[in-house]
Amino acid sequence: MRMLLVGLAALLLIGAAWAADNDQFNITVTVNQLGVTLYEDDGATDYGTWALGNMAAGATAQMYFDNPDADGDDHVEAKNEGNCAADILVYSTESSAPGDCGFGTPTAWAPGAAAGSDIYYLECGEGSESSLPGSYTACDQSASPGTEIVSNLASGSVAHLFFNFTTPTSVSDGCQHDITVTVLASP
Amino acid sequence: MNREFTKIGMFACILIFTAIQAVFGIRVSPGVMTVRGIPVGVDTSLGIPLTLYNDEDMDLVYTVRVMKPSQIKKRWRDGYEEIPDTNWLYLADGKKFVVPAKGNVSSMLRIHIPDSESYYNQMWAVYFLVTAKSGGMFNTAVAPLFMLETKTLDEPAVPPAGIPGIAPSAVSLTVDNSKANIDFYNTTESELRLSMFPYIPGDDDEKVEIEATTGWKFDEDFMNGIRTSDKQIELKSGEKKTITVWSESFPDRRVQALIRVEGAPVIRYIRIFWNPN
Repeated sequence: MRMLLVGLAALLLIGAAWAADNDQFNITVTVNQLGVTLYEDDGATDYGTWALGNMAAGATAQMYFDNPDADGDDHVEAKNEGNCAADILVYSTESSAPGDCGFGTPTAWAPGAAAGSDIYYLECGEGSESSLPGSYTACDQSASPGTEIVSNLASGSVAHLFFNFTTPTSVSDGCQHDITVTVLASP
Repeated sequence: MNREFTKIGMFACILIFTAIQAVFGIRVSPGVMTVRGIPVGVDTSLGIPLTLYNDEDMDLVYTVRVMKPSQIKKRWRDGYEEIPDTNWLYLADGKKFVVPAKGNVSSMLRIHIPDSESYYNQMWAVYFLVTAKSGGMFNTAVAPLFMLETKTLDEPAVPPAGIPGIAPSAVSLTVDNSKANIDFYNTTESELRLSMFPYIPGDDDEKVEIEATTGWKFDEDFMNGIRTSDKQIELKSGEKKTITVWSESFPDRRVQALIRVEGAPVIRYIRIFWNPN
């Protein structure tokens, strides 16, 4: 038993010597967790739907307070679930062309700085629980890096996000299109 | 020829997918970390996993991609350059993970930097882009930030990578060895003008601070005692210049400070350690 204790003590000393060397391998975790969750405007229910319905070419759907959709939610609340402040960025895309529906040539839509042929226009803005954004930003990126719409959202805080979506002014097909809007949080 | 429709059948995907539960939350750990003393030329475990959490009521597929900082944001923590190749950093278990409902999955972080002396003395930033397959219009993603510092090497056989190349990127001062030389290499095609001054984090508006090395706290008195032979240097393309750094403060404890090197458009840091023993 005494030999075992001596051996353990020696190991501890070696460990201390390693730790004292400032060029040795070491890790510092500054932020334990990073996370973001999207809620409806009650701040508690996972975000449900944005019921756009059928839209004409070039039409715009807006999130605003006196026009809630069928679920009653009128904007998206993004909560910073991490331990540090994070920026909120947005990008969107239709990852592939829709399946052939018999109307025209299926063509994937892309975001743009303005609506165009098979190009949709997404605007993003940060408002508050009771007010619309003072201004909107064109969220025209199809991949990361996205458009930053909130800077330094504090840990545990909520950003009230509002979106305006304009369909393409003309389209190559009459099929259903699935757009994915990604809300990214990063320190 | 494509037929154009003036009226389209764009059924909002949210309507279509209400029966399929979408992903509205995503969490990972760690969110920010610094790793120092990373060996070059060796496949190395970073000794810590990336853990993916699923707070939803169904199993989800998470995709993890390693990204250069410029692929995530326009601006990131200054002082850390983009990792040259994102393939060097990887997860031991691949890029796609099925995370059980209300559960988590962990995969060990590993790195393999090619065996070149140019890759010593580096401070790199890298993000992981973590996304979960969504069934709805809105999707969530997170991008944790990892700051990676390779082992130091005093006199590499080739100029260190980076603008400017710096060797070593960290020096230790002691009572018996109170001065150290630091070499600056202009690895660009144009002239570099660099200014430098002692610095400790805390007085800037960065979201992510530069972390002190474990066991070596940042110390303002030590910072105030650091001197450099030059406060500004000019380097022609391909040129190398050496400065000397010393301390006129002699704390009785192990401490550190930084030298902040500025030269449009770069900001770099050099760690200065003080060991009284």
